[in-house]
Amino acid sequence: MSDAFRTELIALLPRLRRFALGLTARPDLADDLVQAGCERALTRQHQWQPGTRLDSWMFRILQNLWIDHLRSGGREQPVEPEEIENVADRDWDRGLEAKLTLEQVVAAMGRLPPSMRAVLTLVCVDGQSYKEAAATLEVPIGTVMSRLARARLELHRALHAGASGGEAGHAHLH
Amino acid sequence: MRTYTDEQLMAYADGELPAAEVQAIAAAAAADPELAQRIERFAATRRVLHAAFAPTLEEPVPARLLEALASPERKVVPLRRITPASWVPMALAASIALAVGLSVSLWLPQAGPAVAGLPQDMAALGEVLETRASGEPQPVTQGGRSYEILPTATLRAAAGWCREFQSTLEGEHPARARGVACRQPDGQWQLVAVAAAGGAAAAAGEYVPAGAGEPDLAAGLGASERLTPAQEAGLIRDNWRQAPR
Repeated sequence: MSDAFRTELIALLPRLRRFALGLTARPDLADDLVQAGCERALTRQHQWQPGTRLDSWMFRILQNLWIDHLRSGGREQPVEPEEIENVADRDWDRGLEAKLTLEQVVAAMGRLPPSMRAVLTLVCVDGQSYKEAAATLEVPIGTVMSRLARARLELHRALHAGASGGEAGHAHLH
Repeated sequence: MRTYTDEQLMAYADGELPAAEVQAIAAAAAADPELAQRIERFAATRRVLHAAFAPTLEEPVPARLLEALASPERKVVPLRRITPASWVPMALAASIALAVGLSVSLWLPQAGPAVAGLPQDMAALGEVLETRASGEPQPVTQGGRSYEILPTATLRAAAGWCREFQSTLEGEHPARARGVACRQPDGQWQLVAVAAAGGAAAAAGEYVPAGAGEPDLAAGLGASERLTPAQEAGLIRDNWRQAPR
């Protein structure tokens, strides 16, 4: 086992945790996912090509583990995005933005399908370009863009409803 | 008037549009409030997501994750079996100091490293790394023992600002350790790697010869760059406020 590999993984942990939170929208499971991802990474270290991006490799591992988890009966049910309404944008302002907590944002993300959350987290949270996100998720860049656009409009709508409609508009986990 | 797809407007808001198309959209948005509003939704969601998740990067990493990376023999628990109720509090984490490889050990943040030559209290070490230039030895007295801590280099690494140092226990049973610590967002210095050096016996009883045979402790930091004395002096003077990358 290479010490360098472990040390690099340790350095990545904060970003992996952040990605896992966005991907799962489950604060109670995000660290479990990271832990399972680290364990898998150590057993499959030989599959990683030195010189390629370890972060992308790890994000892929987390995403695959999460998909496996959902397929094997994990509790998340993919939510059908509601028809995107024409939000009255005048009600959305910077004041509203400033009041949004991580909890609210994560709850709203929980309403999106996992594939949308993955791309949303990579681009808007981790700061990857469309091209980088496409490489990380191994999908065409056009897929990244259509998922991302859809996810952001849906999120905008959900956050708006949640922030202006009180509890009734909040997305719920589980 | 030309119509734009959501993807185009999003790419514009994200700065991902080819320069040739940027001007056209900017002009169209200036003349069309509805178009500007569509663009603003993408800009707003990016701002919100970025801001909401930003503090998560600075949270301390749970000990169990560090433990998972430190002990390969640990049994792999399938994710689906893990429920919040079964989480084990990691109170024992502080006692774990797992040897990785023969000569380099990774330590949990709060664990008092048991390598001879290194003071138990990390705060004193952190103080020296925070404030002293490379090449300036600092005496530290702890538990009746005298140590000399010598920062040897400052590195710009993927993990942030890191420093290499040497710590020597003086007195009847002298011992020397070399280590690398990285500065955390909260200002704490976290030990990333440590090895006994200079003929001292390591905790596990391994003898690590000084010089050529010693492991490069900073190798695990990924691509790292050594700072010049002037750059380092600037960082220390500025309380490490400059972003490492």
